[in-house]
Amino acid sequence: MNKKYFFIFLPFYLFTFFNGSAQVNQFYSIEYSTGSLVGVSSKFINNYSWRGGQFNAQIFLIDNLAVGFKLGFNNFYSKVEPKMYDYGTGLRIYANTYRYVRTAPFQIGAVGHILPNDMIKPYVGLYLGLCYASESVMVQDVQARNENLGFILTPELGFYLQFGKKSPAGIKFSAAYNLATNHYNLSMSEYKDLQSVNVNLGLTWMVMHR
Amino acid sequence: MKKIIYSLSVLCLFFCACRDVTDLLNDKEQLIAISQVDKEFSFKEVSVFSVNDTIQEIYIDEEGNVIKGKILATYQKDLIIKQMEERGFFYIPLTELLNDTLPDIFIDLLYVENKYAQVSNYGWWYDHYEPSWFNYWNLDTCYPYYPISYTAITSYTTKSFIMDFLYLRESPEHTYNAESCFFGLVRGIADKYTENEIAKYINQCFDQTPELKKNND
Repeated sequence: MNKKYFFIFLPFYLFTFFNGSAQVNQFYSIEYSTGSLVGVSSKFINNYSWRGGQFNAQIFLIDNLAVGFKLGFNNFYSKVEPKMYDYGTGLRIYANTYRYVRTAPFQIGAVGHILPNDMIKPYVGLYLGLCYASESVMVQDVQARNENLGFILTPELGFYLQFGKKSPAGIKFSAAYNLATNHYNLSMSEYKDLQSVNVNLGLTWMVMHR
Repeated sequence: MKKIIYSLSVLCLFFCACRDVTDLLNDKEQLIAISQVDKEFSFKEVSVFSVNDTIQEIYIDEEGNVIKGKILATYQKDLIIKQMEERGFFYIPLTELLNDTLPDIFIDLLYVENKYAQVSNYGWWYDHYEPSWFNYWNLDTCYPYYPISYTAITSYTTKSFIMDFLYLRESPEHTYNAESCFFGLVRGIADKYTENEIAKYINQCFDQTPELKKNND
C-alpha cells in the first residue's frame, strides 16, 4: 500500500484501528445503478430507469460482519403521451407531460457476509439513511417541482466476484429495495412515500489485511 | 496492464454518462390546449354570439419590446363558429348587429408570440439553466458530460392563440359589462403553428369543455 492510498483511506484505517479487528477486509465499489419505482410511486413513473450510479464502501468489523455506507443517485423518467388533465375547477389541460423523480440517498448500514474468504462473496445488507428527492412534471417549458428530504430503509442482496484469489479487484452485483418517506404533492399527483427497486453492477477494489 | 484496464473501465462509467443539452422547448414538442370555463356560468341563458373579424397580434421579443398588429381571422373564425353552432348557439356577424344591440357572447381572438433567448454554460456539475446535480439524460440528443465545458445560446419563440368568450350583459346603470365565461388557449413553438395543427387544438379546447352547450342534456 503506497502513501497515496494510505492517506485517501486514512479515516477508514482509523475506524478499524479503534475497533481492533483481527482481520480487515474493505470493499470500495463504483456501481452503475438501474431501477424502477414500485408501489404507489409507479403510478407516477412506470418506466425502468437506466440512469443511476452509486459509491459503496464496506469495512469488516468481525469475520462475517461489515459496516458500510453508500451514496448514490437514480433518475426516473417517463414521457406521458398527450392526454387531458382536469383540475376540477374548470381548468383543463391537454398536453404531453414529462415526469422526473431524482433520488440521492446517503446511507449507512450493516452487511453480513456469508463466504467472505471465497472468490464469490455473497452478502445480505441493511442500510438506513437520508434520501434527497426531487419530483417534477414538465409541460412544454413549464415545470412544477417539489424537493424534499426523507428517511430511507434499504435491504440489499448481492455478491462480490473477485477476479483472482490475490486480486484486489472484482465486480459487485446487487439488488435492493428502497423504502423512503419522501412525500410529494405536485399539481397532478400526490404520494406519501417513495418506493423503488434497484439492480446495481459495479467495479470493486478490495483492501485485505491479514 | 490490469490496472490500466481497470482504471479505464472506471473512467468509462463517468465519461459515458450523457445528458440532454437543454430542456428548453424545441420543435419536436407538440402544441398544448388549455381551457378554463366558469363553472358557475349557465350557458343555457345565452343564445347569440359573434366573433371578432380580426385577431390582435402581440409580439414580445427577448428584450421585452412589444410590437402589436392585427390580422384577419380566417379559418380560426370559421372553426369557432362551426363548433359553437354544433353546440346550439346562434351566430350573428358583427356587421348585421343592429344599433344598440349586442350579442350575448362576444369572442375575442388574440395571438401572443414570445421570443426567448438564453446563454447557458454547460459542463461539469453545474448548470445555469437548472442548478441541479441530477439533470436527466436523453439518449436522443446525447452529449459528453463531465470533461467538456462549453457555452451555448438557445433561442426559441412560443406562440399562443387565445380565444376569450366575453359575456355581455347590461348593468342596472345601462352600461355594458364584459365577463369572461370561457377561454381557450393553444400554445407551442411558433414553427408548429400550421393550419391543421391549430385547428386540431382549437377543437380540443371545445371537446374538453362539456359545459359549453346551449342544452346540457
